[in-house]
Amino acid sequence: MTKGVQGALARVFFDRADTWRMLAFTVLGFAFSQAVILSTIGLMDGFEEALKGGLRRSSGDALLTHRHGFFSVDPAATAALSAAGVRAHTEILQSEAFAVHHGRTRGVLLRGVEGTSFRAVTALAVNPSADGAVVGEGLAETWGLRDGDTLTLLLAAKSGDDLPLFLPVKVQGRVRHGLHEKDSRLIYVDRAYLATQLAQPRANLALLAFPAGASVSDVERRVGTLREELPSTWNVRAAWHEFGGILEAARVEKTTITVILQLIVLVAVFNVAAFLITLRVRKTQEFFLVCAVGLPRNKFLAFGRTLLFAVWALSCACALVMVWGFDFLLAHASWLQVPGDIYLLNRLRLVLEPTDYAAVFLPAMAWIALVGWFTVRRLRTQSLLTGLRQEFA
Amino acid sequence: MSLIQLRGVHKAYGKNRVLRGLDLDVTAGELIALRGASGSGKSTLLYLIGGLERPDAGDVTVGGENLGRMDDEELALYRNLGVGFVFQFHFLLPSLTALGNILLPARIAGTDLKEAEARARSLARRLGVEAQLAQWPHELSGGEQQRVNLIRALVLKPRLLLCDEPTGNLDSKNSALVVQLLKELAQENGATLLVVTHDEKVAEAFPRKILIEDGQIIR
Repeated sequence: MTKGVQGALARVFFDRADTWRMLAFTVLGFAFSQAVILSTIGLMDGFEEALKGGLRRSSGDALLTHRHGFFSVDPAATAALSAAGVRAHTEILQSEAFAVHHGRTRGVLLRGVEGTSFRAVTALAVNPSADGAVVGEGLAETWGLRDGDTLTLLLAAKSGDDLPLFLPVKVQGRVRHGLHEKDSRLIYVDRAYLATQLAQPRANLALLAFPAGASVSDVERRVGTLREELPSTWNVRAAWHEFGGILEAARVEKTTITVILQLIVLVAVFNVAAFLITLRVRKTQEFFLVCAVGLPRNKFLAFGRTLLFAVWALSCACALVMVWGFDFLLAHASWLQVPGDIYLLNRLRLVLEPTDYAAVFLPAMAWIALVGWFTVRRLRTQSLLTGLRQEFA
Repeated sequence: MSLIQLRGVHKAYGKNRVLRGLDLDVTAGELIALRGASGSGKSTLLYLIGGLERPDAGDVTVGGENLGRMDDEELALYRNLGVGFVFQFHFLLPSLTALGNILLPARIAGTDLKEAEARARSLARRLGVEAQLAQWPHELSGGEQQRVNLIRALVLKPRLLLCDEPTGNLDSKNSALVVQLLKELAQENGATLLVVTHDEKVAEAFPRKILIEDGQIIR
């Protein structure tokens, strides 16, 4: 089909301003429905990415524990860590405890840390002195703790016959992890001090940091490598492992929403069908006439396919613009911020992989092809003479 | 040798058998009137020769090519380059100007548009509608639309000019003029002319007259 014929057909089929308007609104409607799905998927992935990023800020990239409980990272393990690209690690003595303050009690997670190495692994400036404690922001807020306040920590006795260990500490500061659960439950003390009190020089948790800028997938890959490299007595997992349930729920929700929101695309496809049917009703005369004067029917149908493809491609392009616009608003509009009392995450951004685009755009193309096929099937089969007589009678 | 040859052609629409084993031979350059009552099958015969329909049985051969054996694309090419149609209802596209309508077959054929336009203008001058070429179909009178229709049929110099009731909407004076014009243009272009008409006077103007009744040629 020559360019001239295509141009002539385009003029014949889009000769009225309202046809162009219909086409524009059809494309916009179709684009909007795709943008809704893409934005939802992007938000889910963005939430996952932001949550993982937030966890990395407070826990490094990965957690290392030992099957026997307490451990020291031995030379063999150190070599394995280096081989996997661990740039820094910090050993932590961690224990469940009760915090007591002015008659109020709460179960907390006590972490004995060494400030310098802890800072090298996480983004938290936590450096408690011997009898000091850095308290999670949430707990400090709830109890109204100020620097210099005394907090009593009760730790479990070594044996059933002993009394619990009372550990008075002075509040030295607050820390924000970015996660409500951690902010309301974590208390940091000096590791050496805690080790002395517990008579336990070894650690029961190590936080690992991979090279700065390692992506989430990169971290997961390196964790896999470490699992293979370390002896089986070691247990290594990504920093977000403890939130695996939430992350899995987000993934399942993403899949479910992708499927359910196809209904929105379906509604938009009805608009496309309405547009095509209107065009067919208005232009059937033209179809039969151009075929009568020599345009092969399959070439006319190729024009129809090009039109459908253009509708699809334009709607995809518009959907991308809409998604970018939403992403921009997420980054800059204050009313789209994630509530800070629940998560102190980096600003949410849409995260979309090529597979996400494919999951939205390809079904949309299939819908549009199906609608197109149904719309023009009469034109495909009806004889030219019958068509001419019906249309020009 | 015949340019058009029909052998045992049958055509039915549902239970309505329109053509019943029809045979016909037409020599190149002939000027023929096809007569018959409404529903006799004369238009169906014209459209079968024009490649707008396919026979249910029998052969329609034009210039040695069996139209029934052509695929859709070959048949479209045959309609585009080999046949000029003049329809009773002018069938002009309202979204194109008169010249745009005339050049539509040339655009489809991908031929030199300048050459086609020059020919269109020459024919328009001859038919007195050159000034109307830039106008839209709804701005033209019935007679002007008919002449534009005729120019479109002739613009690619087809070897067959097929006209379905071209004078159906005209008075007797204009009918005679159109018939005379058709004959002249067909002869000048070396085209074979078949005109479907139910008008005895129109048919009388042609050297060969074919009468169809109940799907068969009577004489």
